Amino acid sequence: MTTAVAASRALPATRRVELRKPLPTWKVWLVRAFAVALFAIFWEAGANLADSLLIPTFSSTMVALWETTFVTGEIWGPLAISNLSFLLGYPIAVIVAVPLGLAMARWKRFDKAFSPIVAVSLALPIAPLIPVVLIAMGLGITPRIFIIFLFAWVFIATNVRAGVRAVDKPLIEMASSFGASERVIWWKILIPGATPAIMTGLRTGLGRAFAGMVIVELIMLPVGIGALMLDYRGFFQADLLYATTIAVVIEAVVLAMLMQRLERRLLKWK
Amino acid sequence: MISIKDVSHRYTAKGREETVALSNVNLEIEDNEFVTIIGPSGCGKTTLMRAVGGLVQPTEGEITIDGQRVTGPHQQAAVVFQNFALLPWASILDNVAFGLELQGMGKADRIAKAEQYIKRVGLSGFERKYPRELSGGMQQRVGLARALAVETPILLMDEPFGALDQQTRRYMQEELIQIWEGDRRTVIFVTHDMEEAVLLGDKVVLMSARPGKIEEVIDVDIARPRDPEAVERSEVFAEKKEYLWRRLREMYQVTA
Repeated sequence: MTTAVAASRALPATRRVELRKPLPTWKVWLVRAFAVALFAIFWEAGANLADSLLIPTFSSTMVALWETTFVTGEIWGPLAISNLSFLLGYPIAVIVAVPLGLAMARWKRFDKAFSPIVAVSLALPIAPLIPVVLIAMGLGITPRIFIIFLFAWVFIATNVRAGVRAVDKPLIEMASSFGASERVIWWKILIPGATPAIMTGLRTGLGRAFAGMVIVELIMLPVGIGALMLDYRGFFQADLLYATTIAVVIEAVVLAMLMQRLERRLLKWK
Repeated sequence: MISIKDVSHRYTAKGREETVALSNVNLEIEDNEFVTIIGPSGCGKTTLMRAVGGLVQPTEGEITIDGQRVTGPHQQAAVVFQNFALLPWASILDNVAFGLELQGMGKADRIAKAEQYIKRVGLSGFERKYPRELSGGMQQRVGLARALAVETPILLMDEPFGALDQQTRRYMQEELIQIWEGDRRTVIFVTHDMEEAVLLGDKVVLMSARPGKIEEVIDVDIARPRDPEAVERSEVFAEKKEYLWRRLREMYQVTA
């Protein structure tokens, strides 16, 4: 009664069209190294030409970076202080914004209720709010966490919402035809289907949260890495100022890369 | 037995006039019968099929399956969708096992069953692939295997080969005949292809549009098992096809 017909008789699977030819890994790294070297050369030459107390050369910045991380180690304490607020603020933003985005996508009432707030938050620059928040919340870690939250949440919520809205409607109908409950539709259809957009939201939110962490320390509440940078500026230690900036950038890039790796793992079906 | 009694369905889309999708439809479908539904677009053929599956609740009349009234999605029928409706993030195996998973079947059992149906539709070796790696015809085999795997007595097929190219469609029709003749279920098969309707169906239900109603139920007295090529050469086939086209042409003349 079984009629198994060789699947090879069916049409071959479609292949993806590559817009650009892929590069071998070693070439990728070669190109990257070349770009960095070029940038370093221009920096070195430009700084030597300018000959200013405020513009360190590339080489002196690298030396300063080495010293502040491995010799004196003076970057670690402030970096830890800054990261503590980030490590609290970003997860809170995720925990609030992901369910909010999901709810907005699925229930009109939530959508209507929150869409004005979302629209305002998307348009509003957060930095001018920092003094207001500090007045309301004092000078502890709470206002810093709150500002990081403010920086990140709306980008997470809007991406999650868009992701759920973009899930193929026939998939929902298909699941109901097999007797899926609302809960099953959430876990088996909406959330997996929205995962690419959720990840985009998390990645964008991460960058925003990180920016928020540095900005609040630089402009109003000098603690952590922001305070360190302000000190270096005050003492004209331009090489250390640049080195610290680079260290912060490296951390941001590493976080983004970890995020991307997680994303790839979750989305290997793409 | 599926019994459709005095079923009408109207709905009002936002900012439009009321649409009568179905008007006074009466139809009885015997167990293990292969019924094809054909008609011009807007005749409510898909609505009728969905109503049997409980995906649409008709505004009037009732549909019963073995005496049980249909009030919502139920375990008696499985649907094969026109656009396949496969989960892009799930492997072929998980897609086929999806319905079984929703029924609460344990992992080992559902994998075994899914593999059995993957084999039946000729996709052995593709279990670990993702839908986008498969051609349209192969994707619809996955859709078919998923619907077969839950082993419901009724199979609802909504223009399942409509999105496929001509050759693939033809090939899938042959395979469906073979699979169905080896594993009979009650099938309601919606199509807009006259040859497909005659080739596959024991009965062809001809519907007309605005309002959607049944014009005629045509018996296709071609013996089973059917050899598609022999069927296509037969006089009965040509006759039925011609008759269908004559009736459909009349409908188009009225509306166009």
